Amino acid sequence: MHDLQAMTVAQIKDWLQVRDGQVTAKDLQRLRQDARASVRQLVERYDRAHSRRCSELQRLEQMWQLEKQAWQDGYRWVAGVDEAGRGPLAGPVVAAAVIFKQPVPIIGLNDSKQLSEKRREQLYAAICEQAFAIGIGIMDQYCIDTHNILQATKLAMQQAVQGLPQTPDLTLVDGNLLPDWGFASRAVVGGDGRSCSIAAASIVAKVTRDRLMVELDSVYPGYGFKRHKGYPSREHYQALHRLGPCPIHRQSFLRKFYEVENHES
Amino acid sequence: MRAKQVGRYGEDAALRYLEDQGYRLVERNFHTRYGELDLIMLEGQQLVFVEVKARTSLRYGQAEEAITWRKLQKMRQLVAIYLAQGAPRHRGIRLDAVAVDIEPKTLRTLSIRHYKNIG
Repeated sequence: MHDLQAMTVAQIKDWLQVRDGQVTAKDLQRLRQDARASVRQLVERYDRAHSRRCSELQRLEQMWQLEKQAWQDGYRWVAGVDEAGRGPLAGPVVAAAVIFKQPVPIIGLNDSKQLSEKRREQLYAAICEQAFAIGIGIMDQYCIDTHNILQATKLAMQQAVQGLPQTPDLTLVDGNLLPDWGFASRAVVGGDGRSCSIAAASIVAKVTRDRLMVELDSVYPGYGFKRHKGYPSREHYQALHRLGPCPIHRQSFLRKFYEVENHES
Repeated sequence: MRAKQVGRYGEDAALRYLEDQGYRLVERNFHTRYGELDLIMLEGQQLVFVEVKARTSLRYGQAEEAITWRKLQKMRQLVAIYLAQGAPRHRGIRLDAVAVDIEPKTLRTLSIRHYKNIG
């Protein structure tokens, strides 16, 4: 039996921390009436953290609805599919497919665009641990230039799904366009914020691509790929002006840049 | 009441299944005084009329057994009425049946069987 009155403030703090969500109402009541102001403060902080956690779990619950519906429909292997890197002037477009076997709560899981780079890396590790299967597809600048960015994106998605160790019987694809690939699929508009599988795929694709661009920065230094990852930025434009394009630039994306440049000179 | 629910549920499941396969819904429960067409869909250019049969048990036989010659006759008649009232642009038509097995308690879809071009 624990005697809350006899515990020091530091002990109570630790005690509360390891029992997130499991402290009985009776104990909380007792702590609220504690003579020490610092203890009462701890309880308040605990309450706030607890309600934050509850609403986060609720949000995640919502984000499993599409998967749950699919499982209810008799599908067993449901893959979320998303892409990263449609907009940059350089580097590949990367797609990822992620299959979960059951709804696991990955705290903070959300659309990769809503997250900081650090948070994405953390979630990436959690996804790799919790997911049943992950597939990745990469289409380079040649593919983007010879087809077009949309076709290249679809091809990357197809490669990602085909690369899964388990063939999915349903794919949930972010956006409103479906690749013509012979997998049963649902297009989910705004899917990276609405489905955990798609959100996970968006994070895997984004982190994979970012890491690739950091690697490519040392192969083609001077453009700042390490920082902007190939996306259009002031630094990137200035480097293009100074150095001209490098082999990983998408020629089809630079036309506009050259038009502006010719206009100015 | 329960039978209606199962029917409705089976139709929902069949509709999602067909949409997952790339079919687009044109009309649902096209109703006339002679009866009803469950799902009208487009697969590419082809207009597909779908009869959905849902079962939670085998008490009344397999879902497939409910598609009789009489039922097909009825379907053809209803298709004629539908086409006469103005259908969307299409190239060719087809009659399909979808059998859905549903777990009675959880309403989970156990299996879906799609029969194309039944006549």
